Amino acid sequence: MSTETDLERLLEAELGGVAGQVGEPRVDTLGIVRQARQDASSRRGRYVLGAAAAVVAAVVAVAALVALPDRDGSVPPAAGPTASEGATDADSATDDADHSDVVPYVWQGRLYVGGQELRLYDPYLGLTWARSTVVLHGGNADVAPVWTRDGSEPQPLPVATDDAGSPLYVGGVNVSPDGSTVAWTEQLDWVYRSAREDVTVQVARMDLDTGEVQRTAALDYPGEGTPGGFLQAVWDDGTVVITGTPLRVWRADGRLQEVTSGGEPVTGRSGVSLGEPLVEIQTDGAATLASLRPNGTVGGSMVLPETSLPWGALSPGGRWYARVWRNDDEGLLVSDLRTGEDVAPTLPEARGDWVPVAWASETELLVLDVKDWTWTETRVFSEQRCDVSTGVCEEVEEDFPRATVQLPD
Amino acid sequence: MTDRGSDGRPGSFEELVAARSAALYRTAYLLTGHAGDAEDLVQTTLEKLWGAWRKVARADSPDAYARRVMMNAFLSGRRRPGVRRERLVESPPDLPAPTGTSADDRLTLWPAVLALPERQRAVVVLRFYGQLTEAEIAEALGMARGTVKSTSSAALRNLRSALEQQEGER
Repeated sequence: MSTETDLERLLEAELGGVAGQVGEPRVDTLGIVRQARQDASSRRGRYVLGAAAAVVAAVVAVAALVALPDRDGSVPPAAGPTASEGATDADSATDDADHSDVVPYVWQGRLYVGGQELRLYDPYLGLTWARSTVVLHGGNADVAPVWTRDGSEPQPLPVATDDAGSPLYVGGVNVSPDGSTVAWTEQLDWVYRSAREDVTVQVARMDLDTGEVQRTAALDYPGEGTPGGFLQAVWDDGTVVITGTPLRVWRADGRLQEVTSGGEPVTGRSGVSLGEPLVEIQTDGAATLASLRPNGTVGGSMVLPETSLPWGALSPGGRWYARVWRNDDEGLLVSDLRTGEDVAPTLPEARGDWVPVAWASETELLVLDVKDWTWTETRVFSEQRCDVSTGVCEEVEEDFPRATVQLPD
Repeated sequence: MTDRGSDGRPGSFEELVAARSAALYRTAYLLTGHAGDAEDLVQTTLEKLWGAWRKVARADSPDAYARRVMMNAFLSGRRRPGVRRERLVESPPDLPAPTGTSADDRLTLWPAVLALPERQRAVVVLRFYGQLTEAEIAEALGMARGTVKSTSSAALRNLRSALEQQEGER
């Protein structure tokens, strides 16, 4: 094999030769149609879909993202994909199904499930989804987390209980991008996660294909408060990223790695991925997006302008990284991972450090804006349509179809 | 089910199956290296396409959409080798291998292609069999063009190494 061209020609010839000998497939077209219709029919029975004019889907903000020029200077890692490699400038989030009918909607800051308002005492509105997997969870014990997938009946998350039989406090619920794994933290010594509180958690993950649930041992984060032991990401292979000092990675095979850089543990604020092993770590007041190597060390990195709380969401195509800044009077930041810069001024109306954000597609950022809340009064949320290129947000006034999910008895 | 569009694209699901399933199967065979797995992959792909038919019918390129769905199905299905929906039966219903002579015996590169990691294999199949451009491969696999390039380079490096090893063993 003398040249690369020779190899490529041989490859073309061999693949063509193999493919040329392959016969016709046995494909049951009618069976596909029949099965799909049955699926659709049974799903209709479980969901109440309507277009009630008075009910507005909340949390919809359309990000009219503009293409910005590339900028040299992003640092590629020595191993693994770079942040910029993980990005794509196309609307590449080609989903293979329309899952809009399985997302329960929010109206005026309240989550309606099965036609009944789900009470939320905590500003953290727990609604997490990826593909057709949806997990509903809240910040209060009377909001039992439930999950549904492919339109199945919602089932309770198998949350561990304390000695008295009460469910442990659940946080950091995440769904892997392919919708097959749900992971969460169970707080063993519950404290409100303000600054410098000691935190002890165990992390659980559930393989929705098999129903298997695994848990880590207790993990201590003394004096770390909010970021300690918080779960931000679960990846398609089941890997879980746990924030705090040190940043920990719980691999699919059960290994619990402490992430290091130069031999020293790193502090992780969040783990983000869509099949790309990227983690966000804290470095001197900035947020650094770095690639994670299989041995637990981090590779090249891209420094983002501001720190954030341990919440962040990578757009499906990997180009944009939305996160929430720590100050209540600031809010949402969206970074262009091709340049490392924020694409817009901080969205001015998206306040609160618990703002739920999620990418519905490469160009659609879902935001629930916390307009006003206190610990004792009813929260007032608003639905915002935000153009992240300008930072301008407008209240959503359109009517959207509503979907409701029946909770289990 | 609608009629064929004026642009010549498949207008109905059945038309798409008739027109594309053989090509999808050939690609699936190159990805999986197994006739039964290839049929499963095609079937899964077509099921997903049917489920999203309104989107497929509106897509600029139904072929590209189908490729993307197949690649997603291939790569996601391979992530969890222990999890299969199929139930094993005592008597395998599979047809014999699609070829009268084993391609594996005759071709030196084919086993090396099958030994590549899934993403590298997918890139190789799309590039050297599908003759897709980097941009089209990036779209099909949902990765950046730079990643396509690096994955392709790694695949070629692995194949060259495999060939050299074979030559050394002769």
